[in-house]
Amino acid sequence: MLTAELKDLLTFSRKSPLLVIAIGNSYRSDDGVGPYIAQKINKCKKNLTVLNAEDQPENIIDEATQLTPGKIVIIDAADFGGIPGEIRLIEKKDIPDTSLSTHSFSPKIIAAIIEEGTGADVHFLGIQPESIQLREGLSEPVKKAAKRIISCLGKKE
Amino acid sequence: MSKRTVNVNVQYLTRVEGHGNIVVNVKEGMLDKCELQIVEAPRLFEGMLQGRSIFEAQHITSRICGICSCGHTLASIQAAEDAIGFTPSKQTLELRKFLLHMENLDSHILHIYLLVAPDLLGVKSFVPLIKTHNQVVRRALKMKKACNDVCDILVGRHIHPISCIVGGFTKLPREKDLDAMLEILYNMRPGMDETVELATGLKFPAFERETEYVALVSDETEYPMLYGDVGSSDGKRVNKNEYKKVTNEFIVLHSSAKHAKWNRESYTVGALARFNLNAQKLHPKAGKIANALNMKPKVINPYLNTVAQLIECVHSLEDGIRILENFKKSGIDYDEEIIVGLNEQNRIKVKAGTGVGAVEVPRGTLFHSYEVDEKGIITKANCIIPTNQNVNNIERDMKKLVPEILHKSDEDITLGLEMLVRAYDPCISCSAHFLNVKYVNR
Repeated sequence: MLTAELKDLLTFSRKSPLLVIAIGNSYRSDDGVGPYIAQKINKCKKNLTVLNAEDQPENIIDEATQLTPGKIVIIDAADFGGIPGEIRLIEKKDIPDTSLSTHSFSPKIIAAIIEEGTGADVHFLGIQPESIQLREGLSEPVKKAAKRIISCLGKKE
Repeated sequence: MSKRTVNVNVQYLTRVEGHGNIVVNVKEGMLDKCELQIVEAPRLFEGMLQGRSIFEAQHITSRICGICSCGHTLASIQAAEDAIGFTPSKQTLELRKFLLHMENLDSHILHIYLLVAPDLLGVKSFVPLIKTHNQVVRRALKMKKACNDVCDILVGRHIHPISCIVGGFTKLPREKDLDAMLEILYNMRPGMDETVELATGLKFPAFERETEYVALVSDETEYPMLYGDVGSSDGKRVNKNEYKKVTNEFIVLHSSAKHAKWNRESYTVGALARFNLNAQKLHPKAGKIANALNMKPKVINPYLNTVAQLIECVHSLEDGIRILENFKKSGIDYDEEIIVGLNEQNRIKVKAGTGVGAVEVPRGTLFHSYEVDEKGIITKANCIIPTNQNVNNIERDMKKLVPEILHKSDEDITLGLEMLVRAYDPCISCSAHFLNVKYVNR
């Protein structure tokens, strides 16, 4: 994804407040890229809200819907067969309807609930992981990708 | 009986945890095959526990299940403490009971709203409800989050507790923590009232089968969840240490989950069993709801397990509030806070022994049994999960149900069977424990 496209997606204003939802498990290497980004973003910026949903995105639905954002971007690691660190806007139709049980929720379901509750468009920003093995810390290419996104949103001082 | 030929082959059943198949063959009106096939790979947690300290066992076993992680933690701790002869304080027991309540509430809410309600509202899953019943779906998830948040405050994580250990708690809730938890629970009350109201309008299939109901029982006045003997609706009662007399596990070819039976060909555990054995001990508010829903023991319609879960939700919420309010009055004794680690400092006296943990978790009675050496190392472990104990009973229900609904369309027969299995809220991947591996030195 080109930097210009990324900036365009992550832009926010008074007219169109942006809600970023970060998903991932920090104990699974690059799957933690969402929470990593959420921790590094300057959350004091006007018209930008960041929710770090980690591995329980269903728990931020109520908060997300109360914010009435203009645009929502869900950031998560996504294996789309790209090169590690590649950033791609994932179309909803390309996200599988993963099996639903009492143990897990598909991000697509979470997005549908939030979309219905807010009327805002939800976009999925996927980052190709190098590894999602049990380990803490990101691989170098994924960390670089995270920094690109952070620079678009504004780094924490 | 209709002379029809019917083949039901559901691979895999949806809206349950794990992988299970329903296979039913009826040839010219005669039931030829009726199986709930559990096809998950065994988990081997008992093997993982061997050679590990009792002081880390609860962190390992909590990973058996993301929904019942608190229940596994508490069964594990109880087995360990029983083995070394440690008696927990009253304060510790009250906080553990509270933790169980939160897990019970969380699990039941998810099952009622997201796994059962779609069937009763005539949709394939809860996804269509996002558009038609958005507020209802959000209410369910809000209530789930509330339970998770309380667990986070009490034991350091939404699931998989950190501070709940053998001997007590590494961190006890401060005044502000008690206030925060109480506020969350008070705020849950309107959602619970709405949940009860919603449930009163739901119609469950009419089906009954006499079976044996098994749950913890005690002579105390409270609804037994954390400790007690193992009791049966057939009047039997044994000490938890004799749990094998209850479970009598056996292997069947089509299931990687062992089957169980006690005084009859099968028995069942779970919310309905607890209700049937202990309804009179429910919190008064839950008792009132039970009356309003016309639930009086002994209820023998397995589909009504969901209604029993709803009644337990009210019980867990109200009894949870009661426990916290008592702590607000009496205060917490922070001298009981303990850091044990792997007991390197021998803060807890350890001896060799055998111990059993028997705890009521959302899907029924959970048993952990450990043999421990003089250093507190587990030499043998056995975990018997509620779904294990229910699978045999579910199959027996299916065998009675099929002839009764044979006049219906294939689609409705399949749905009836799926709903029956779902009513038990099975946690299939937790139940797969059948392999007995014998290692031979070469």
